[in-house]
Amino acid sequence: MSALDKTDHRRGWDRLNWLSTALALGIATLLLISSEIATLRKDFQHRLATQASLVSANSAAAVVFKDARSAQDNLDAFQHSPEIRSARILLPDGTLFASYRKPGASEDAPLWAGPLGLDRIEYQKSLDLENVKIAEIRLIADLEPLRARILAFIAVVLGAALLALLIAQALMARLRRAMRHAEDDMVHMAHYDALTGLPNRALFETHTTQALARTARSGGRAALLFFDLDNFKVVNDSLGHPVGDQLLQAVAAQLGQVVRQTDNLSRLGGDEFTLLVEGAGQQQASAVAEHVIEALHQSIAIDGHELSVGASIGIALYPDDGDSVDKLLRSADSALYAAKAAGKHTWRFFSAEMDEQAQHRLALEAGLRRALDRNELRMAYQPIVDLGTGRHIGFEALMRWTSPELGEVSPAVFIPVAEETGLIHAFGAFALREACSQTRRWLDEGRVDVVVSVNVSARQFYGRGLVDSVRRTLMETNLPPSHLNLEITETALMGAEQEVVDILGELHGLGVSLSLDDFGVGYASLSQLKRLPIHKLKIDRGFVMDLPHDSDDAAIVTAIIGMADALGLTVVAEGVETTDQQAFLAALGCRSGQGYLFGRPGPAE
Amino acid sequence: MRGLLLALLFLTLAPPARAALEENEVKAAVVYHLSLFAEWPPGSLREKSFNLCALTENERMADALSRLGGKTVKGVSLMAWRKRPTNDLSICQMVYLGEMNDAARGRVIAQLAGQPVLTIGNGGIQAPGAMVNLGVSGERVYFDIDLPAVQRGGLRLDAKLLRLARSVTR
Repeated sequence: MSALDKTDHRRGWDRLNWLSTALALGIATLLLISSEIATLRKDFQHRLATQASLVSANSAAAVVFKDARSAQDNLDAFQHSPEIRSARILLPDGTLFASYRKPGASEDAPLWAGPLGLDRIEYQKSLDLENVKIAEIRLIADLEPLRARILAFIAVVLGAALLALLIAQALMARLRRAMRHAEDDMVHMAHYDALTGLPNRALFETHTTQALARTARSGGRAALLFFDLDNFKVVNDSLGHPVGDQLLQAVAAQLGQVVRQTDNLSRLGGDEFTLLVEGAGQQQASAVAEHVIEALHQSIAIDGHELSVGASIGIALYPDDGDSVDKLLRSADSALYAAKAAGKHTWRFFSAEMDEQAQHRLALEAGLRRALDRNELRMAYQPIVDLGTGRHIGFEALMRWTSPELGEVSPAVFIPVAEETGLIHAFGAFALREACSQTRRWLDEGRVDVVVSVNVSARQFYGRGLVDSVRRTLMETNLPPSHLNLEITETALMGAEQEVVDILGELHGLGVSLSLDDFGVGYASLSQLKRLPIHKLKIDRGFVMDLPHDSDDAAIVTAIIGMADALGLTVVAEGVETTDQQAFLAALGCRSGQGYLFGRPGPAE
Repeated sequence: MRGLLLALLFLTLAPPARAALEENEVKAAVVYHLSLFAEWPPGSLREKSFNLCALTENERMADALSRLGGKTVKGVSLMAWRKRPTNDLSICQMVYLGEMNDAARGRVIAQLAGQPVLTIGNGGIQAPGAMVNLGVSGERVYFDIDLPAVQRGGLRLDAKLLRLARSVTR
C-alpha cells in the first residue's frame, strides 16, 4: 500500500468514525427529546384531568340549578391556571352553558409544534350526577409554556450532544495518533533489521525494485554488491551469538561510514549484506568493493576479543547480469561464492560460468545431504608402514563418496561443502564409527598392532560433541583407545583457543593418540607444539614429492624430523612414491610413511 | 360581596325549547336536585329506597313529583308518596309541603321539627318552618334556605347549594 493510499484510507476511516459517533449521539438526543416530550405531555394531561375534576365538582350544582352565572364564576377561576387556554361546559344537548377563554392566548401553534405533538392537548370530562350525564367539560391547554420548556430542553440536550461530540472527536484524534505511531513502528519493524537498524530484505527488495525501474527509464547502470563476513560462523560458533550480534552491529556501523547515504545498504540476514550502487559501472563497483573490503579488514575489539573478520564480495551489474532484483541477487550470490573460493578477502564480478558453478554446487549440496541416508559414503584405508621394515603398522581412513548423479566426487570438493553446510558433524561421526569397527575386525583377525587414523575437521571442534562422540564410539565398537589416532589439521589449531586445547587434552585423556596433519603448510607455531598433547607430525606430501633431489625440501624435512625428535614426536611422511624417498626418509630417522609406494587407499582387506 | 352575589342570584329557566315546560315540572326537578346536595345524618336513610312524600292539593304538582320515582338519590332509588297531613310521615326523608291549609301545615311542621327530614315549602304560600322554600320570579324558580331549621333536623346542605340560594337565613 502506498503512502497516498494509506492517507486516503485513514481519512475515510476518520470520516466513518465521526459519522458513527454523530449518529449515535443524534439517536440518543432524539430519544431523550421524545421521551421528555412524552413525559411533559402526560404530565400536562394529568394536570388537565385534575383541573377538569375540580371544575366539574364545583359546577355540578350550578348546572343542575341552571345557574350559568355561577358556572361562569367557576370557570373564571382558570385565570390562575396559565396552562388552560379555554374551558367550556356543554349541556348534553350540545348547548354551551358556560365558557372561559384565556385572554391574549393565540389559537395557532407554530409550524414545528405539529410533528412534535405539541400543537394541541385537549381534555374532555363528562359531568355525572347519580349516573346521569348532566354536562360535559372541555378543556384546551395553552401549550406555549410547554413549548418553551421543550425548546429550552432541546437546546440544552443539543448543546450537550455537541460538546460530547467534540470531546469524543478529541479523544478519537488522540487515539488515532497513538495508533498511527504504533502503525509506523510496525512498518519500521517490518522494514528494518532490529539488530543493525539497516533495511531488511523486504525493504531491500522494494528499494531495489524502484531503483532498477528508475535506472531502466534513464538507461543507466547499477551495481549490486553482495557480501558476507569471512569468519562470522567461526566467531558465532566459538564465542557465542551475543558476540556474533555485537560483531554484526560493529560491522554495520563501519559500513555506514564508508557508504554514501544514497547507496542502499541492507542486511538480508545472518552475515549477509547488500549494497546497491546506482549508476555504477564495472570500474566504480570494483572501487566500492575495494573500499568495503579495506574497511572490514581492520580488526574489531568486542568483549575483549580482537576479531578480524574480513569480507568477500560478489558483484552483479544491472542490466547485464540480471534485469530483476531476484536475478541480480542470484548472480551476485554466485559471484560471492566465487570470491570465497578464490581465497576470501576479495571480490569477484559475476560471469556466466559462475552460474554453472553455482548450479553444480547446488547439486553437490543436495546430493551430499542425501549421501548418508542413501549409503553413498564409504571409507577407504591407506596403509601406513614402518619405513625400516616395510611392515604395515596402521591405516589412514579416508572418506569416499560415489554419487549416483555426479559420480565419484573428490573429498577435496565435498568435504569443504560438508563443512559449510554443517553436515561435517554427521560425516565425522560416520567416519569414526566405520573406522573403529573395521579396526576391531582387524584386531579380531589377529593384527594386534594396527592403529587407525581418522581425520577430524576443524569444524568438529566447535560445539562440545567431539569428545563424547569419540568416547561413545570406542565403547560401542569395543576398540581400545590406543588403536585410534585422530588427525587434526593445522587450521584447527589456528588461534589455538583455550577451548581447542581443552578438547585435545580430553581426547588425550581418553587414551587416543593425536597427530598434526599436513605439517609445514599451515601456521602452527612451534611454541604451540610444545604445549599441545600431540604425538605425531605428518609431513605434507608437498615436501616429500621432490625428495631426495630438491635440496630445499630435503633441508626442511631434515629440520622437521630433527625437531620432532627433540620434542619426542613421531613423524609420518605423506606421499611416499619411490624407494629412493623411502630410503632417504628412513636414513633421516623418519620411522613411518604412507603413499602409493605402499598402497593406494582402498577397501578394507 | 356575599350580599351582592345573593342579590344577583337568579335561576334561568330552561332554554326556549323547554319554554313550554310547566312550572310544576321545573319545581319537581328542583326538589329532586335539592336531595342530591343534602346530607342526612348516618342511619336516617333507608337502605332500599329514598322516600319523597308529597303533601299537596295541587294535582299537577303531585303528578310531577310522582314522576321522579325511579330516579336515584345517593345510590338508592327514589320513591314518591302522596300523603295527607294526617298520615304517618315517619318513613319520609323528604317532605314537600304544597297547597294545604295553614293549620295542617303548621301541625306537620311541628310534627317534623327536629327530625332528619328535609322539608320543602312552596314559596307561593307562606310555609314558616320549612327548611327550603321554593319561589317563582318571572320565569325563574328560586329557593330560600332556613339554615337553623336545617341544622335542627341534623341535616347538612352543600356549600354550593347555599351559594345558589336566593337567601339564606342563618
